[in-house]
Amino acid sequence: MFTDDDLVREIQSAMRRDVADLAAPANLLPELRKRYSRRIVARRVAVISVPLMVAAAVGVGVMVELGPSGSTVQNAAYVTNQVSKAMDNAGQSIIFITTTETGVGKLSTPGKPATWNSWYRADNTASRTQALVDGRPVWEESNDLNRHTTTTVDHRNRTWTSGPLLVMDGDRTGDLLTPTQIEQAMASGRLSIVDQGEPVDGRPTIHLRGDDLAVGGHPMGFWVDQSTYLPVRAEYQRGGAWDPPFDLTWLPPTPDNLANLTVPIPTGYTQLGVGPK
Amino acid sequence: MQLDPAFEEFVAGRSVALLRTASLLVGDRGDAEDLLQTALLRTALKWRRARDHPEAYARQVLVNLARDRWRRSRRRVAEQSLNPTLADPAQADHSNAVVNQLAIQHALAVLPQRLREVIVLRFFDDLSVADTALAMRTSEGTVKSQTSRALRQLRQILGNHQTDDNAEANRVH
Repeated sequence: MFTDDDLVREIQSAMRRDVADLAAPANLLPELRKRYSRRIVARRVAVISVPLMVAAAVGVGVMVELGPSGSTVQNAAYVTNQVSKAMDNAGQSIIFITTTETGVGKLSTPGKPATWNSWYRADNTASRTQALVDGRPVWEESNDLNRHTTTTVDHRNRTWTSGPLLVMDGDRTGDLLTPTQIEQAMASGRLSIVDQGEPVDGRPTIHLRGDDLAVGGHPMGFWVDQSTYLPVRAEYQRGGAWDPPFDLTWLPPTPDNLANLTVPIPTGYTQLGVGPK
Repeated sequence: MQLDPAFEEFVAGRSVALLRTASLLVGDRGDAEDLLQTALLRTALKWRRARDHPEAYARQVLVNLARDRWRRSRRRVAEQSLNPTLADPAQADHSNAVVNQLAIQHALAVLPQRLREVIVLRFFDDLSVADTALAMRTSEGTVKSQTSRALRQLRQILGNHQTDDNAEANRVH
């Protein structure tokens, strides 16, 4: 008769033998780096457009905090209301973000920066990212939630792929803030007016910040244009420090702007059999 | 948009151990790799919270992912083994073994998900009751009772196979 100790020893031994030959996939870290970068890019619009739309929908009040300079900051309820109106009319708009990667990055090298342009549909159903070096596109990717596809064009080797949607790993709710979470964040007063924001493109703004608002539980902030009440600048805090803010440009859903959401596949490029992973 | 160097160091040092845990939790190596990558990605995205105890955090995510996978596939699980490469131990040669590797693999594969979790975490990862409770997001009392239940069920499953073998042997001879 086996004792429990005997049984446990046998089980331990069997489990260890069963997995002894397992090793981590060679591409684990490179793949993680790639997916992480994509998530960060995807998260930017998710936490900018969704929260504001939810804020607009629920119309909850935010805490009023007067700026440290004692400057006049508009009433929080008024700001929320104005943002709500702005977002009502902007749901189909396209948000354009451009950033520059320097040093040794995904595509940049010392002395040769890479420019990353991203277009997002405000309802977060489609996006495109384009990387340029020396002004020429080297890599592009578009994601279409409705078609559930990701298309990638690699100009370096003149190839393209199309496969299942990558952005949220097929589990879009996994790390995205839900409307309920945003609603709770706002209702609990974790989103507050910091101060009159610095002008963006010469236009006055209102600076807002909130704890645990961004995907991953990071604080985030944004500046809303004081005349249009659209967010025109955003920032994230990671590791206790605020990353440099980046600007958002809101584009109307014209045919030309909508076309920017899809990567064009140049004639003569070769389709690779397997979609991006 | 780059991974924290400390996270990369963590991946380099602990990904094999986590992959092995994942493999035992889901019984499929391909799925285990997918789970590992997703768990590590989520750990990276929440690194500010996870950095003090990254392995515990990643393991907790792994357990959750394994549960999600199990929920999605439980209809199929009822019809087939989690690991199609596992043969039915009743067809294997048990003549010289009371409990053998294949039988134990099979027994683990047919254990209910929570019981398999407790066996893997307690006896493969050598976690304490408290750490197992943390990984499973349950109480220490539940871990203890589930450990006892899991061992009882394993003993029963293995005993049944043993009985099957003996019956088969009697018919042959």
